[in-house]
Amino acid sequence: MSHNSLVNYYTTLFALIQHHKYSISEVEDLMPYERDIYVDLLMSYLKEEKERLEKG
Amino acid sequence: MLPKIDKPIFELKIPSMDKSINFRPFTVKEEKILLTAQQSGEDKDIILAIKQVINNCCQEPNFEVNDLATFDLEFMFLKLRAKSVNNIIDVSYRDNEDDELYSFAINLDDVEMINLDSESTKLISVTETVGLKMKYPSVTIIDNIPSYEDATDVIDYLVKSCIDCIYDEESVYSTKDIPAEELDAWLDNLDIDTFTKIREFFDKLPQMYYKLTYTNSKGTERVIELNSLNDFFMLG
Repeated sequence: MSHNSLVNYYTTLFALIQHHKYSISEVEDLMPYERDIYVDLLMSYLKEEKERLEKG
Repeated sequence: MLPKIDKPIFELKIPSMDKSINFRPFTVKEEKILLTAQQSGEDKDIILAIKQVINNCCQEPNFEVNDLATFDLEFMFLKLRAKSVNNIIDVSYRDNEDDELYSFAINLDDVEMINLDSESTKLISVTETVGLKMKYPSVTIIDNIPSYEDATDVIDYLVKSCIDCIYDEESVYSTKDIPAEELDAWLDNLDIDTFTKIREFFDKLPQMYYKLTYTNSKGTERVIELNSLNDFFMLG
């Protein structure tokens, strides 16, 4: 359990729902490692987009 | 129509029964149950949440989580967590000699059970013809520990709850069928040697085992043995 906290749980859930159009039930039905993979991929994507926009 | 299982299935071993049953990983929704219990900080809430999640994830219809021994529950949860979140956990430990923080990555797949051969300590002979058979403390027994103020009352409760049966030359008497007062009186008459054997049974209960070794900045070699869920998730 120590990898997460209730505050972090809701913060991540809110960010995925508010900014990336996931639904609560979609995220809650994932396995925790899947959610972590999606969050990592999303972070990489946002970083690349930011770099692309800064260059352009 | 019955619901279809759309999650990967894997086998989990019940150490005390030496058999494997099918489980699915827990979901983010079930992780919330665990985190909510963790937030409360109460051991009883955490055990209840672990039981609830294990029950949800088990794919065997006749599985009864309350029948598990406490060490079964801890071991199975650790393995379930490894399949659901990550099999690597990061822990840190502050050395009490140099006050430095040491970090370790533990592979939960490498955690094993020890003392599983303690089956032989279950049978305790009182005389040449009379004896008793112990059973591992189940989740239910630990759940129902009354709130005694005196530690010896807790030990009495545990000893009584973990006696499976008493036998003599003619019969086997299940403790379920023996009135509490009669059992109390019988236990009060036991000699010290028998109580030593009962204590040995509890000392040799199966448990999880993982060893961390490091050398601190002053050159002292340290060994940390991890045996419980608290050790794995609260260390540091």
